[in-house]
Amino acid sequence: MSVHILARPVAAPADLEQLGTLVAEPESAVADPPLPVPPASLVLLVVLSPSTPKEPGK
Amino acid sequence: MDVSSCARDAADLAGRVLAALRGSGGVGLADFLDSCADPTAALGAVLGAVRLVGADVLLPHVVLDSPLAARDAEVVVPSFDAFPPVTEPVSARQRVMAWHDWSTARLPARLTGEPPVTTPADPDAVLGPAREWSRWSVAVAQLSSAAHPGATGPVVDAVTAQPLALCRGTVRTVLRRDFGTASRLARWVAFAHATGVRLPLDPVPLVEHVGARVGAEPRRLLDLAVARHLVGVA
Repeated sequence: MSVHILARPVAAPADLEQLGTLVAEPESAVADPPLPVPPASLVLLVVLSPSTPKEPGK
Repeated sequence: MDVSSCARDAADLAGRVLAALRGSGGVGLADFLDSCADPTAALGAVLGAVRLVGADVLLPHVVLDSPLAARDAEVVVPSFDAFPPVTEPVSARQRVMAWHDWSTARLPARLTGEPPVTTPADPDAVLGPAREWSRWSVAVAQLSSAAHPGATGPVVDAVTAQPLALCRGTVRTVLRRDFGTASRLARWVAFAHATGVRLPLDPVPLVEHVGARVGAEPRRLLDLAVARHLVGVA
């Protein structure tokens, strides 16, 4: 015989409230937009690039 | 009832429905219930899962037009025995529950030819005024299981009568990157499109955009599977 025929638990009011919370799932909190991440090669290029030339001394 | 067990069982059940929609055979609702090892504690969570997934447990019979076994149709009954339906909703959450229950009870009645179930109070009470479309669309998302092929009823009429509010709410959830809510609203947008409502939003790229970002939660994937079926890209 099936289990669901043998036992039919009657939920407590607190269980009904919890089920209601799951059914009426609220919208999620605002997520941050994706931040721009420079590619690693660009970072390396900036690090290894020669320093800014200076104007000859006056 | 353990909430986390109920949510986990609901995900499992939704995964079974999703697999059935993809052609793996039947959902095996009665087997899902019988698979419950502990007939006291865990059964409450399993029956809660059936109520949580709601009308979607019978989706393959609606979408694929497969026959509904009497044993599977009866699965909904013990879930209502265990968790009595809300008859006089007071809070917003209870009103959502009442309409969710109504769509859950109505679908097997429609499939088996039984008399229709009693309709809850005015749907405007659960959705609120459409001019407050950001709040309105969240309530619409919470009732996404009511949007299935061939669905009718007061909530369906109320949602499809407000295409601008629906699309504004959907775009807002996408911009907020709340893709769980967006998947539920995309289902409604696809439903409105399938019923011939003119929309200021193309549902096909919407469904694809949300589908690429929604993650792996089976209930949300189920919403998108229904949306894809409704717009004909399944």
